[in-house]
Amino acid sequence: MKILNARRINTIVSMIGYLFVWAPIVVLAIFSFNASAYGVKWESLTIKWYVDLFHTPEIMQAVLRSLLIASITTIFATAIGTLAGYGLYKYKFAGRRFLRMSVLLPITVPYVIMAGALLVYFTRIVHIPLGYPAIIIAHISFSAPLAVFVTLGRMQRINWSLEEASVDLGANTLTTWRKVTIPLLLPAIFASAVLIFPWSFNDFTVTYFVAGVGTTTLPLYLFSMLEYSLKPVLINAISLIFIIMPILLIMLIYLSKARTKHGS
Amino acid sequence: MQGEQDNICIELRNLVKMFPGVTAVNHVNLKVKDREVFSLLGPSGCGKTTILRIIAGLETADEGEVLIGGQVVNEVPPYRRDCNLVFQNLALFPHMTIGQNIAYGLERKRVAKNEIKKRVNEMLEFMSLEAMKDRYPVQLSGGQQQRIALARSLVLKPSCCCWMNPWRHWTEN
Amino acid sequence: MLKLVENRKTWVFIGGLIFALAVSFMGSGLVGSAQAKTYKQYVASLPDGCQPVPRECFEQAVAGKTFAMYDWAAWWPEELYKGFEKEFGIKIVRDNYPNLDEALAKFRLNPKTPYDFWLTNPKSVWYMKNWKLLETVNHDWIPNVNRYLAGDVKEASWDKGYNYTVLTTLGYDAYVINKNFINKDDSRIPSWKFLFEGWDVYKDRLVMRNEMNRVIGNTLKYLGYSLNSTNPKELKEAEDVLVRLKPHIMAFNSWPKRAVMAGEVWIVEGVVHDYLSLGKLAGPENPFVPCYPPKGCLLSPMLVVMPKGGNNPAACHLFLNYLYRPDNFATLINGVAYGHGHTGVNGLIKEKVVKWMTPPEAGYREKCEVLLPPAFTGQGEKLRAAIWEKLKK
Ligand SMILES: Nc1ncnc2c1ncn2[C@@H]1O[C@H](COP(=O)(O)OP(=O)(O)OP(=O)(O)O)[C@@H](O)[C@H]1O
Ligand SMILES: [Mg+2]
Repeated sequence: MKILNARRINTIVSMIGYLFVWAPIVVLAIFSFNASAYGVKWESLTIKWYVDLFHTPEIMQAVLRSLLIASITTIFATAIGTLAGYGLYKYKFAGRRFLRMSVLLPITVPYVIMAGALLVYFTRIVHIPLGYPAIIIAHISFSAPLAVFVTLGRMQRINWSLEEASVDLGANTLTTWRKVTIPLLLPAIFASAVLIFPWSFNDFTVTYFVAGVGTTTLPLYLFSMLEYSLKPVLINAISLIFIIMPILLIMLIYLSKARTKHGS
Repeated sequence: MQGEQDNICIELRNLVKMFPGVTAVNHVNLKVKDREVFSLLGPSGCGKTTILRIIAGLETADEGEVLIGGQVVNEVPPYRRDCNLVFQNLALFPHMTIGQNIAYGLERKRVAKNEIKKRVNEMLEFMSLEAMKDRYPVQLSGGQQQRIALARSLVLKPSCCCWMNPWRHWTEN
Repeated sequence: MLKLVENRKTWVFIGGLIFALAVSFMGSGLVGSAQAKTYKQYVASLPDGCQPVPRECFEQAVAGKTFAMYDWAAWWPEELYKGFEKEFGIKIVRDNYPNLDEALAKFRLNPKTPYDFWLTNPKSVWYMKNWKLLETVNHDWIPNVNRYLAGDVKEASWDKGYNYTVLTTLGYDAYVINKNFINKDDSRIPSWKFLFEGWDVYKDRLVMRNEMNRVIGNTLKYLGYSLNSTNPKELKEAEDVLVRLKPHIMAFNSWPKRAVMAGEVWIVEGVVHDYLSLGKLAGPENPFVPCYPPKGCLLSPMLVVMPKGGNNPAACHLFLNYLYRPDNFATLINGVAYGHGHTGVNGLIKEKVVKWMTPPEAGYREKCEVLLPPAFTGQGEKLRAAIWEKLKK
C-alpha cells in the first residue's frame, strides 16, 4: 500500500511538472490559430497567421538566415569543442588545468560586453568582415566551450583501454578515432549539437553587434517587430513551427532507433 | 645460450620502465619460444601488466629492447606489431556486435570480405559462441566476454598473444 | 543513432540542406531590374508637382546597385520599399534594430557601419553629429523635400536648416483613453490634469511609458515647464507629482498592446497614433480616444540620417525624394497614421487617419517639444535619473 501511494504521489508530481512545461506551449499552439490578433479572447479558428507568415518574405528570409548560421555554427563548434575537450582530457601539458577551468570563460562573461569586444576585435584588429563570417565565428567562439564541457564530462566515463585495444588490433590513430573514439563520444557530440543549435539560433546580443548589412536574423527581426507590428500572433506561429520541428526530429530519431533494434 | 634451432618468439633485454615514484619494471630479461605458454606470476603491482603493455607497444620502455620474431620493435608502433593483447578488462567494443568485434582486426588488415566472414565464423565455432554473433557485449556473460576477447586476438593469428589475468573469469567456466 | 551518423546519406542530406540554404541566399540577392527606368523615363513618369533628382544623383544611386537601410521591422508599408526597388532597379538591403539606443551603440563601436539610411531620433542625431559620423544632406538632390517640408520643420530645434536630417513622421507622445471604461466627456479630458489627477475616474488602470525622459518630460509639460528643463526646482515639482501618482500607476510599459486590448488598461501614456491601428483590431468601433493636452506634449520625430559609413548616399537622396512624392508619402501616412511635416498630402490621407494623426487644434505642433541634449546629458540627465530611480523602487 505504502509503495503504491508513493508511486501515485510520484506520478502526480511529475504530471504537474509536465503541465508546467507544456501548458504555455499548448496555449501558444492553440492561440496561434485564433483569429483575434491579440489572443485576448477566442474569436474563431483560422490559419491566416500561418498564411501571413509565409507571405512575409522578411520573416522567411530571417528564418533562413538563422537556420544557415545555426547549422554551420553547430557543425564547427561541435567539432572544435569535441576535439578540444578530447585534447584537454587526454594529453598532459603545462597549463592544462588552467585551460580546463578557463574554458567556460566566454560563457560567463556578460554577452553585451563580449559582443562589444568582439565587434571592436573584428573591425579594428583582425578585419573580419561583419556579417556571416563574423556572426559564425562569434557564435563558434561562444558555443564551442559548451561542447568542450559536455565532452569532458563524457570522457570521464569512457573506458580508454578501448582505444588501446583498437590500436593493438592494427588500427592506426585515425582509424581508431573514426571507429572507436567518435562512436564512444557520440552521446556527447549529439548533446553538444542539441545544446548549440538552439543557442546559436536564439542568440540576440552577440549577433546584433557583429551583424553586417543584410544579415538580420530571426531574433533581431522579432525584437524589432515588437515595437510597431500589430501582428504579434505571427510570433506564436513562428514559435510553434520551431517547437514542432525539434519534436518531429526527436520522434524520427526515436523511430529509426526502434526500427534498427527490431531489425537485429 | 639457447640453441639456434629454437625459434624465439619474444625476447626482452634489460627492460626498464619507470613511473613517477616507482620503478615498475626493473632490468627484466626473458625469452619466450614459439608455441610456448609462458606465465608471468607475481604479487599485485609488481609490473606484469606493464611488461605486457610494453611488448604490445602501448607503453615505451625507458631502457632495454623488445624483440618480436627476432626483430627489435622498440620503434614499431603498436598497430604494426605482430602481437596482440587480451586486456585485463577485456575492452570489447560496446558499440559493435560480437561478430564485428572479432572482425575488427581483420578489417584493419584489409582481408577480403568473405575471408573475414569465414574466419570469424570459424573462430566463433571454435569458441562455441556461434549463437552470439549478432549480440552486443553487454548481452554476454563474463566468461563469454572473455572468450570473445581471446577470439578477437587469435583470429589475427599473431605470432604471440599476451593475456592479462586469464583466470579472472575462470570460476564461471 | 549510430547508424544514422555512420550512414553517409545522413551527411549528404545535411550537407545538401545547408547548401540549399546558402544557394537560396545567393538567389535572393539578385533582383530583377528589367523594369527599372532610365533617367529619361523616370523624369517623364513623375506625377504633377513632383520634381526629379538631378541626373548625377540618379546615376550614382543606380550604379551603387544596393541601398542599405536600417529601420524598424514591420512598421512602414512594404509597398514603399518594393515600389522603390521596382522603379529604380536598386536592391534594398534592410536590417532592423531592436531599439535606437542599441543602434546608436553599434555606430559608436563601429563608426564604419555601412548603412546609407538610418531612421532615428533627435537624441541619436545629436550624438552622431558630435562624433562626426553623419553625412550632410545635399539639398540639390531632394527637390521634393525642399518643396513640401513645412517651414517650421525646416528650422526645427533638432537640426536647424535640415542639414543632417530629413523628417519622416512625427509622433505625439500624449495619452489615450478607452471610452468603454472612461467617460470621454469628463471635463478634464484631454488635459494633462486628467492623467495626473483623475485616478478617481480611471481607478488606477493607468500605464505610463517605460522611458525616463518621456515620462518626466510630460510631467514637466503638465506643470507648464519646458520638458528639457534642468532647473532643480522644476524637476523637484515634477518628482512630487510623480510620487503622488505612483500608487495609481499599474505598470511602466512603452507599448502594452495586449493589456490595452484586453481592457485591463483604461488609460495609457504613449504615442497616440499607435492606438489607431490597434483600435481597428478591437472590433467595428474603435474604443480608443487620442487626447492631445492643450499645454502640449512630447514630440517624437523620426528622422532619416545618412551615416558616414554608407556606400550609396545618392540612393538615400533618391529614396528621400521618392518618399516625399505626395502619393508615396500618403502611402506612408495612411499606413502608420503618424503626424508629419509634409504640406502636400492633405487631400490624400484617409479621413479616419486624419482624425487620428492631427491634433484638433491648429498650431498645436508649436506647443510641443522635442527631447534635446539638456534633458539627456549632464545635470539634466542626473536629476532625471534620480527621480526615475525613486519611481521604479
Ligand atoms: N600509468 C601509470 N602511471 C604510474 N604508475 C603506474 C602506471 N601504470 C602502472 N603503474 C605502477 O607500476 C607498478 C606496476 O603496475 P602493473 O600494472 O604492471 O602491476 P601488475 O603486476 O600487473 O599488478 P596486478 O597483478 O595487480 O595487475 C604499480 O606499482 C603501478 O602502481
Ligand atoms: Mg595487472
